[in-house]
Amino acid sequence: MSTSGVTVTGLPLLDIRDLSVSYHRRGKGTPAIRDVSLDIRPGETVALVGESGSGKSTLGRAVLGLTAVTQGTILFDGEDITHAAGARRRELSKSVQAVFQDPNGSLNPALTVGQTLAEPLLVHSRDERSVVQQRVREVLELVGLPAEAADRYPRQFSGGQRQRIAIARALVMAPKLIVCDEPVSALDLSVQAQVLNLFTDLQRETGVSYLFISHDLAVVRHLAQRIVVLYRGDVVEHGTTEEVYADAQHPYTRKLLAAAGVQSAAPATP
Amino acid sequence: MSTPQVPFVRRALGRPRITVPAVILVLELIASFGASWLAPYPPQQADFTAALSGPSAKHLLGTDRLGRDVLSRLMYGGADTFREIAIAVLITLVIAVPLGLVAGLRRGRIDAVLMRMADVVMSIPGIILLLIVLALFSQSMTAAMVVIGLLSVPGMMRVVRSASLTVGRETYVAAARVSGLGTWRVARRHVLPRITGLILVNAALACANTLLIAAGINAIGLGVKPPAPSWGGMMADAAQTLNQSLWLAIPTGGLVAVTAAALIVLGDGLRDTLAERWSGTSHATTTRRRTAVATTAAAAAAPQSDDAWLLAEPHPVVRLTKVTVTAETEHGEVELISDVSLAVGQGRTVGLVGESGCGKSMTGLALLGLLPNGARVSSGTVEIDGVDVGPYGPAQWRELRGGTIAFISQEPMVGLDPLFTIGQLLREAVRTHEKLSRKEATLRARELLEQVQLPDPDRVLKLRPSQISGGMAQRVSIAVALAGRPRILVADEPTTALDVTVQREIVQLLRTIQRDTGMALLMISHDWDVIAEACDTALVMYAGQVVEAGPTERVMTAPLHPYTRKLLAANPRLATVGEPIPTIPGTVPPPGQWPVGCHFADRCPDRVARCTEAPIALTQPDDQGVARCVLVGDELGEELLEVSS
Amino acid sequence: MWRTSGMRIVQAVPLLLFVSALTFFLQLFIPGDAARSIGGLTASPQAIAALRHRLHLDQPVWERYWAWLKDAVHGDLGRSISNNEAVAGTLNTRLGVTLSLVIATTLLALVVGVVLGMASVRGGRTTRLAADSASIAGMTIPAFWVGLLGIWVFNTRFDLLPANGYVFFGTSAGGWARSLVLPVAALAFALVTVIAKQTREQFADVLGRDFVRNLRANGVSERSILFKHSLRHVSVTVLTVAGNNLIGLLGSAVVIEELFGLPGLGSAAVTAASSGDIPVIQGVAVYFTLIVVGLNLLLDLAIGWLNPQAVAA
Repeated sequence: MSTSGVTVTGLPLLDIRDLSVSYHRRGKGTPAIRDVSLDIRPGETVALVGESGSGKSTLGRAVLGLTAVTQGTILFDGEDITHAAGARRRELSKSVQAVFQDPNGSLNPALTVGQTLAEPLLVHSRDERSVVQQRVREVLELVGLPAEAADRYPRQFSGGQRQRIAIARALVMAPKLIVCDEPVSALDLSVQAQVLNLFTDLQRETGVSYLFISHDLAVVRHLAQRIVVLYRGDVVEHGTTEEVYADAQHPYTRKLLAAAGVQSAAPATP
Repeated sequence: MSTPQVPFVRRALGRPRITVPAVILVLELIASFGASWLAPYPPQQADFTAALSGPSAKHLLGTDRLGRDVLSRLMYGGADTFREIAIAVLITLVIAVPLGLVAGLRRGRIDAVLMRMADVVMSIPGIILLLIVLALFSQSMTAAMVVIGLLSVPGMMRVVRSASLTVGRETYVAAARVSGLGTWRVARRHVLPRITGLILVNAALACANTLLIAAGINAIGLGVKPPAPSWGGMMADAAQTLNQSLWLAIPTGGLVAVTAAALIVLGDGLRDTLAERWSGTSHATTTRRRTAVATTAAAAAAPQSDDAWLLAEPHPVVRLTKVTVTAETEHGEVELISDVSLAVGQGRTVGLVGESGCGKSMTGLALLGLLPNGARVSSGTVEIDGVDVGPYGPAQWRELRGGTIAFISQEPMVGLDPLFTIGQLLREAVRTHEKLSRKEATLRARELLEQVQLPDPDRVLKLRPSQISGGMAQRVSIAVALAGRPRILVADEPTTALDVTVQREIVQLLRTIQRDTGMALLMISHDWDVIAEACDTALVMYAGQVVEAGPTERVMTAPLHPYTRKLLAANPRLATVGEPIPTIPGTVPPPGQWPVGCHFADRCPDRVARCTEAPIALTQPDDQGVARCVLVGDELGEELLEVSS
Repeated sequence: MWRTSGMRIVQAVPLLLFVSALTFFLQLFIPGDAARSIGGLTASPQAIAALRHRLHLDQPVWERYWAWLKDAVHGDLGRSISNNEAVAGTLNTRLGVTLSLVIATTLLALVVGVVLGMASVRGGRTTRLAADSASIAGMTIPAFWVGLLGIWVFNTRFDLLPANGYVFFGTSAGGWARSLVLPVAALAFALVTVIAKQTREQFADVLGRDFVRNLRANGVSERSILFKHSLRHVSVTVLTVAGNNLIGLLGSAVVIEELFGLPGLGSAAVTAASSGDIPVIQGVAVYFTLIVVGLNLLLDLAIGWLNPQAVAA
């Protein structure tokens, strides 16, 4: 059934239940997401789709521990990580990684690519230099970059190459889940396709799961087995990719589909 | 590929902006702390026979009114001065840097509390605290310096906070946190190195400031008690004897100013040197082998493009003929767009499509006479309403802009002046083109808002750009552009920054306006959907050139150029689900690195030897458009293309 | 706009309390005895005891502060140790001098700084070099020294302006103005360079923004872009900078009052500081705080009028 040919089995890897996040501004709590539930199984890609202000990035940041959760729970591998901090969060970072949108800001310009890629390894272990370098070479190869790239600075790479490096950094610890926050929307069309294919290939090779956050239904169609549509902080649609494309229930989803150049099979409400 | 890394110290020593102030300061420090060995006279030794003498061999910097040697006194006073500066600035740094980092990186409550405290301390008139402390602590300069150091904490803390806030928002900091780094490691590894330069500059400023304050305190007779020498006290001596001689004022005040200047210049220099390691522009150091030479040679040898099809628009409002834009860079003249021809007829829509860096926006700006500084139209002609605007001056351009040719840009939120209401902005636009009273202008502004289909125009007129959504702001931008009833609108990526559901509405609005007014439209976009929906004709640009043009339908369904074909295939909207999306290997070469022949050759699957030998001209295989490819219109080539697609 | 102004006034109360408390509680940190420290090492034990009694140093510091505060609310800031005059009365006559100096300096620096900054926006390499040098000069040359050179040129060499003393406005408006020219110029020098630099950088920044290109692209005149749109943006920043520099300005004003013999709050504080006349310094602290709050309030109103957004934010 799945589009990328990966077998999806077993218990959920990530299980989000009734999650709410509010931002506090001048005493007033503004909900960014309300009672969102979703789960991702090992080797699966779930797409989180919505426009700016829908709360989709907030959800991603909450999973990564970058934003405090107001209510609800996040289970990872059966364990409650909703408020994981400190050592627990550090431990968790072996299994949960991220790729962000901005290919210019996602790499520290003052560090070489090798230094950036070695960083997660140095946090978690006291491996020999040669072991670390070996792993850096491996992940560079995995994302299709030459080993020499390790000695260069981010400015010497194009936007698409930088995004490959960001993906390599996420892969260094061989995580089970990667939160991808609009990872291709800042890229040009011809480069976008390269990076999307890379995501697919990596999943096939490593069995990693993706929480793939995007505004573009046309893009997620190529990756996701299931789609969750967020609108102003609420889940308005949740189904397999085929279901959502063939028979979108919510008018907002149909609007998004129309914008993505995909006509929903369901008759549009007048 | 990469530039060799010259060690920081060696780089720093190579530039006078660092060495000159550093040498001055080191000499001053040696002279001050070694005064008891190096000074020619003891500080209090008076020689009444030589009172107030100018510089001489005996007294290099002259003497004061008691005949004491000025140079010696400055040297003896220096040690105290430098010690004072060190106390104050160290206190500031030790407290402010960690606090600023915590506030900027942790944010939340800690940040709010620290900032509130900083506000209070910064509102204290510092001088009065200094005076009280001097009075209470028996004129102790050390106590005064502690106060200066503490009072400077909030300023320095704010600087560090806002810098670490900015760096902390960078995606790579989020990525580092996701990799398991705690706040302190993030601060040490990712934030501090980025803001060291800034801290250095501000520490240097704090040093200079402390020096001036200390000199000021001593100059008004507080702190150091005469006859002990101090730089400020010597300025006061100079003030007392000003009637007899100006000389004494020169070395004393001059030394304070030179020392402060040396500190500031050194701080700036160190920051710049520190930042150099990583702050180059992208691609700055990569391949540049076949660059400038190639482009100039190409211009000379370029075969004539057959662009008759491109220029054959009925009733053209604008027309570019074989326009090349070059910019002056440190590597010489570099072409930004090359041999671009296009025309837009009345009521028609022409689309410029391509990836970023292909010269689409530059083409639009050339049309508006708004090329960035240093760039110019180096060959070809730009005609508006049949008149060559090449020789136009600023006043003539102003006549054209808004009235004949108008513009909307990508980011509607930053495209409108945030300090004015939409009513004010629209009235100004209206009155730029028509002599109307305020009231008439308001009516016309209202009318324009209705034309762009904004509900409740009276309310919108009173709002400011920050109070409306992106989609509304783009509508307002369109209204501003329509104020002068332009004959053509240049729309540069008008939908790119908007939410997907709003994008279509804006395109439809532009179509409606065109239908109602007969306005021509040049639509610049990377988005094939927008081009498909809006444009009669599509021009595909790649690396500064038009590589293909034709009726939109034909370009999208039967593309001629391999780039167009590949680009359309790489579109995730059109690609088959479940299969890898077809890709184009490599990236668009930036200006200055274009190859001699076909700009796309490096990435083209159909490349043959002819592609890279000489510049390629546009050819017109039939009446359905043009393409810049050696294989198009060539029987053998056509076959090749058939096979590969 | 009124809300921020109201906030400023409300916040002034705790600030006044804080500053005045600071002047009292700092005495806790003195090694040994405040009376000895003020009286000096040469004072006799009887004199010290008398001083201690007069300053109520035999009472705990919070009691002294409370007593002072109660009186201060009624406008009584105590009496000077040196001449036993009422502090409030003395300082009231001096307030005008300092206010004239500070306000005239700020206005002059704003006008000259903005004009110079605008004039240098369009310049090339030479202009940029000159502007950068001027801004470093402003940060490094002591106001005292500028005043010194001013005196030498305009008084010692060419007897054009007074170098010492103050003429009250009520006595002679012309004399008042003449007595302020050199002090204001010396004080304004640094501020002018700061404001000119800010103006230049802000103009360059604003002129590079998208909305300016859009205004140009739609035919709005260069004059309107410069004077209506850009200047408004720049003014907001420049007024903020002027506000941030007020406290530093007061510091320099103390030095300048001393140099030019102006009978302002600053010179009163300096005299008091060298003679240990704590009540007078405490009084000046209150006046200085009020000046800073008041002038910032005026600047806030101006900023709010130029940029209604700043108020909403």
